[in-house]
Amino acid sequence: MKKNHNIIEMRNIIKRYPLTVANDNVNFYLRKNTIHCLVGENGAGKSTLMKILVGAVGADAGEIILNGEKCFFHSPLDSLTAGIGMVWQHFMLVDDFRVWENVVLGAEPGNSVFIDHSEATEKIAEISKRYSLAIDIDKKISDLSVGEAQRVEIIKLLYRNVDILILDEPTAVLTPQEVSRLYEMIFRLKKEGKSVIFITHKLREITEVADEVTVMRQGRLAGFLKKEDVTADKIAALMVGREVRQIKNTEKAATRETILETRGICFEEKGVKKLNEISFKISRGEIVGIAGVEGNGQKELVDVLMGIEKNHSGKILFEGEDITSLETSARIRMGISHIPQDRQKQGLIEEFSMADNSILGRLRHFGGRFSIDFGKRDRISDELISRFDIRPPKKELLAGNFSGGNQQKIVVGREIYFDPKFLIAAHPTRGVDIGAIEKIHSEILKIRKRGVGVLLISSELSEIFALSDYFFVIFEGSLSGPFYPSRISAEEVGLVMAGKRVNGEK
Amino acid sequence: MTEHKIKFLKNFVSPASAILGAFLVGSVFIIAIGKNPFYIYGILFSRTLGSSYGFGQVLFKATPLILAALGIAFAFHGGLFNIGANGQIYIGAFACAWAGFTFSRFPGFVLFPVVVLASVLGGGFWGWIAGVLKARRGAHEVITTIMLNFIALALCNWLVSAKYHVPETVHTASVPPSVWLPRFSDISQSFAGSAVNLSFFIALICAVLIWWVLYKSPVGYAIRAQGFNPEAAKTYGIKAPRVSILTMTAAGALSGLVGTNFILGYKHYFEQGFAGGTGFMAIAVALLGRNHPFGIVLAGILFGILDFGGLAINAYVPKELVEILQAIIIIFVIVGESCFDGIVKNLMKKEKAGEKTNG
Repeated sequence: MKKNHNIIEMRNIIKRYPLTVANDNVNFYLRKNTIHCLVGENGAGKSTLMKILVGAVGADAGEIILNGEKCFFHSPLDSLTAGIGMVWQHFMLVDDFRVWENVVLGAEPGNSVFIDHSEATEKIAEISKRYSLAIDIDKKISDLSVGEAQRVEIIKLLYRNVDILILDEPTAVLTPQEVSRLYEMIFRLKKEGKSVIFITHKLREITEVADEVTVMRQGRLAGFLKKEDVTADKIAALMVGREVRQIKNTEKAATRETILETRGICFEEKGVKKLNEISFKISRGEIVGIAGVEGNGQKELVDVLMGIEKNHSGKILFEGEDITSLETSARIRMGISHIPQDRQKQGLIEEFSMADNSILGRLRHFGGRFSIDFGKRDRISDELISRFDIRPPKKELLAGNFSGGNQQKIVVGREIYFDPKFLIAAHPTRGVDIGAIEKIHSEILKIRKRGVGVLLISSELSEIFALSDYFFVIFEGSLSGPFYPSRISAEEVGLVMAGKRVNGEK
Repeated sequence: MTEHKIKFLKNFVSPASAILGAFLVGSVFIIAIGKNPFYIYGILFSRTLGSSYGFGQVLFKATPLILAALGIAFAFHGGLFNIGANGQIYIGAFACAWAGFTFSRFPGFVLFPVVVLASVLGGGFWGWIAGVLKARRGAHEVITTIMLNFIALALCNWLVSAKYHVPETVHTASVPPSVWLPRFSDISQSFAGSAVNLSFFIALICAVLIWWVLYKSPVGYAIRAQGFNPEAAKTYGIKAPRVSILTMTAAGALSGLVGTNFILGYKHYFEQGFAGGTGFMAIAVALLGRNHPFGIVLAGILFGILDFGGLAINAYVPKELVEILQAIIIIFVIVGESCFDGIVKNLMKKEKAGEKTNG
């Protein structure tokens, strides 16, 4: 077999940020016509390495060799011209433009006054046929699903004749069906001679698509594996630096005592129905999951349960008491805890110290209305730091200076610390590394053993399957289910997530 | 580099270099009109800091700036930009004078709390209006406070000229001497001629109080949480409308206290347009003081020096020079902040690199 040559080599890349070294002497190469997975926990330095490659940030040291020639990119536009394109996690599309307009944006055919519409559409049609990227080029971006928008991003790069595509965690926002379509596209790209760098931290994806795998840990190269050596356990161990346990919900602790109940909750926003007749009961010691693609009403449901959004119909009962009209702070005081879906926007105040963040929403636990018990605050933060292994272990450090995973540990720690009776956990492990996932999952199982009821909202099916006693699927504001993890496959759930009607088992 | 070191650099070195830079640029102007900057600056500082009288005048000028700037900073911590200090000053001062001459028969120990309370309530009410409009209707506080400034000034002018003026003047009747605040000169003869009075200590007490509320009390925690991250504050049960109303009312009350300096400590009556643009200059003081109560005291004193020093150097250079200096300081502070962040980052990078090679 003829060996493909290295199309990209990155040698001894060093990049320092004020508080961390993001890339510490990293070597990376991509061979032509392969799919290369770049793997690592959050904050391992993968994104930085790729940003250096495309020229979005400059390296402090090291060199990049493209096709045997040393080169240097000043901006992503530079690298695009050289044939390297990146699909960012957050799409760079103009919502009000049509697909074809987005594709040609910045590289419009025709003269400086008129765009050659037919040339543009012909070329796009050719690309979408050749790579089997089906898309309606006259649709507006705002009318597309996430998976389709991602396809537009890929077409955009192919339109500019890139040879190397970098996909930054492309599956994070997709349903299982869309994920398998994406895999097909990637394989097709490879077949057509392109090379792909696939950034991810999901173990299953790696085993499914990778030809080669580079693993990073804490800014350094942790390992390199070829397809035949790749196993999920091996990669997990390289990513975390030790063996990883898979946390699973095995023992049941549910009682028959209902702790939280909703009755027919409906919520409309700007004439759009966001929640439709949501009714469920959760018992003490029970973990109930809500699966679903993001944006189907999860955030609204949490807002309603926490009293952040009160303009809804239906009732919420907590320990048999009607709390529908209670304020957020009153609900927190009753023992409802909340891990919000976006830790940076909602969960933390980045300008506050870690210590101040460890008492957010819990001031009433602290010496009342007129003073704050700073000694107690410091004791609690020290305890959270040691219990959750928060790094760096400095409580006076501003929350914004912690990495994403450690920020999440602060939020989760706080929400578990004050003896909740009920926990709403929205995407508790999003963007968090494997080590932290393990810790957060085991803490959730631990508190439920103490009789805490848990509502677990996640778009990560593996998380729902691992933790919940049973779960619902939310689609366009309606629940279907319940489903039991042991009696349904991920594929079936995926169909429900995409809107297929299924009758629950109860 | 430790957090403390960064804090020190940001909070002290950065404003200090802004001031230094402004004086440097200012000296260009002085040279341009053919004078020696050292000589002019020498006069500026010797006339203000060189004598008890001069320093007294500096403190007298600083008092209203400190009080109003504390209010602006307090609202700012809650995420609100209070442009309405000037209007709040007028309403508070008028209320103070009105209560004084209306209830002049009351004995001093009763009347004194009444007049102080009147200034607090007057200013507080004016701030409260903007707070309520924000909380209930979402009206932007910048717009409403600017409008309220016009209303306050016009209202006070009308009240003075149509209702309460002493014939042939543009001021009201005086408050009775029983509520006059003692001047420094009553205690030490060296301050003779200066109007500095006990309200300077009122300003200092307010600074300590505001510091305590902001950084040590649950209310301050909620206010700062709301200011930094409204979304997180909402998520954890902090009520934004309550914060808006509370901070704007408190801001108005602090501005209202400016009345104690002028009415109770200086002229003893309310005079049309007495505050000039104090409420706007106070925005700059809050900015230079980095919205920290103690920083504001220092910044207020510096602006007091410029204010009174401006009069002192008027004989040699145009007084406008001082206004230019003040404006340049503000620009330097704003620009300096972002420059300084860059410098700190670079320093930290170097230190990191140093650690690497050493370790």
